[in-house]
Amino acid sequence: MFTRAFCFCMAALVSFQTAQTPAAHVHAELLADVFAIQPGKPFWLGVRLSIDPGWHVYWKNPGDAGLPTRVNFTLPDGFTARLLQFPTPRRFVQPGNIVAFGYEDSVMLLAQITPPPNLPADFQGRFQAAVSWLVCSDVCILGKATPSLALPSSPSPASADRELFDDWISQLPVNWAGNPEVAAVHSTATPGDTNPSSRTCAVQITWTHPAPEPVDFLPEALTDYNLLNTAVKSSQNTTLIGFTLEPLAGKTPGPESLQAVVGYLDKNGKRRGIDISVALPAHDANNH
Amino acid sequence: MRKTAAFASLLALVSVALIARSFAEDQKDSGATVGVSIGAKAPDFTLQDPNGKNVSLHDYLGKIVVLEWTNPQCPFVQRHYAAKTMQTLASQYESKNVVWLAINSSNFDTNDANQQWAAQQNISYPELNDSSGVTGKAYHATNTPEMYVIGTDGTLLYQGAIDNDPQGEKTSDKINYVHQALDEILSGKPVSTPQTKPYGCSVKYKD
Repeated sequence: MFTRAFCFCMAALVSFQTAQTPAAHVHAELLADVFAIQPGKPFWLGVRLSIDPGWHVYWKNPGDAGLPTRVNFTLPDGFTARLLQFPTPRRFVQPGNIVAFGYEDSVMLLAQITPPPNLPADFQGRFQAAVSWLVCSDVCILGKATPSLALPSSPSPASADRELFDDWISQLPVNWAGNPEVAAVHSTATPGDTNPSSRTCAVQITWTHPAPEPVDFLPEALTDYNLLNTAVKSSQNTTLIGFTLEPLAGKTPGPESLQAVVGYLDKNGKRRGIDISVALPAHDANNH
Repeated sequence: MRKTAAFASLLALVSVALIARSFAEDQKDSGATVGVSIGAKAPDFTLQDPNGKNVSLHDYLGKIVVLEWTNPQCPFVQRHYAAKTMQTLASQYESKNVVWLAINSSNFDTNDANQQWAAQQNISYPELNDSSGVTGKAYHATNTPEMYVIGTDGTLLYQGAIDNDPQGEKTSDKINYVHQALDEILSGKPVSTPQTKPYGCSVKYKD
């Protein structure tokens, strides 16, 4: 109880310092999973967004409309950041059958940071995240914030907010081969009957237990195709995902692959994600 | 052992492909939303302008028509109006047989609100009330702004984003797709980029 009250005060303070507008509907904080940094030892930075009830922000592919949430880190000299990682999002179907991928309530976007191996013992550095988002309910509002965080160095491990970080790290999508709940993933992409330049795609997931319900298909953005007609069906230990890719008018896509996340709730009600890739063979020049 | 595994996975793939096909068949029956196609006839509509006067697409056969899906409450629309993207384009082509129609499919839209917005932004073209969403859905408009360019014969020639700058931060290599399409159409050329992915707020449909 005390911890919670304390966190709330800290959050209020950060909010004041970064001068967010009061009706922003999103509050951004920058957190680290350490109190202090060990030389050369990677740690996580997390941008936690707290979102007002009834509002949502977007995944890296926002879906039919919306805008990806973005983070740009400013790090002390010698520090490097790996790619920003998005926890498995939810799929929303809005009026007019408009599909969106994003987050309600809260989300933490994560990046692994590597300090230089020769970090001085008296190091004290400031880490900043420039965060921008579109938050929507009946209307949409653009927002941004630049929360920051100061960390010293330490010769020994100094873990912080372990539970919170572990919770969000466990919601990052992982390759199916590393997930004991998944036995196999197969996918195909075949030319469409009516339009040979379209691709009829299917993904089959074989689980090591009865298929979870629901399963969300969360594709990353494709520049040259529209993705249509997504259908997900599960029976016993198998989930089948079907969809159609239609090239945008005037486009002849080259060989590429569709990256996607398959999202589900595990038996404890925790959101999980599997990274999958669907190979899309080159278009035959004669198929027009 | 390896052979068996390879065979099993081949079998699985074949069955996945078959199932994909049957999925596609199912969806044909359920009339899945594909929207309008480039080169096909653009759906006709009759909507009210802010004065309550009916405006129909078929009134403009023989003219090039630009449809702009809009919502004054959307920050992407606000950004383009502040930069006068739409107003400038509309007036630039007004004398070249091009008609500009803005359509608001927000469930909360009213003629009065459209009147107010038009006065505030000094817009010369009508903002049409589609609060029922029927016309928006016929075009499968998903974003504000989202643009459609219709040729003199009533066929759709462009659908998608206003430009290639969703974040509004490009200082070079900026392409306004509607500008480009109109120039190409007016000089008798095919539209080089007939379809792009729109960006913006979702259209706030009633249902």
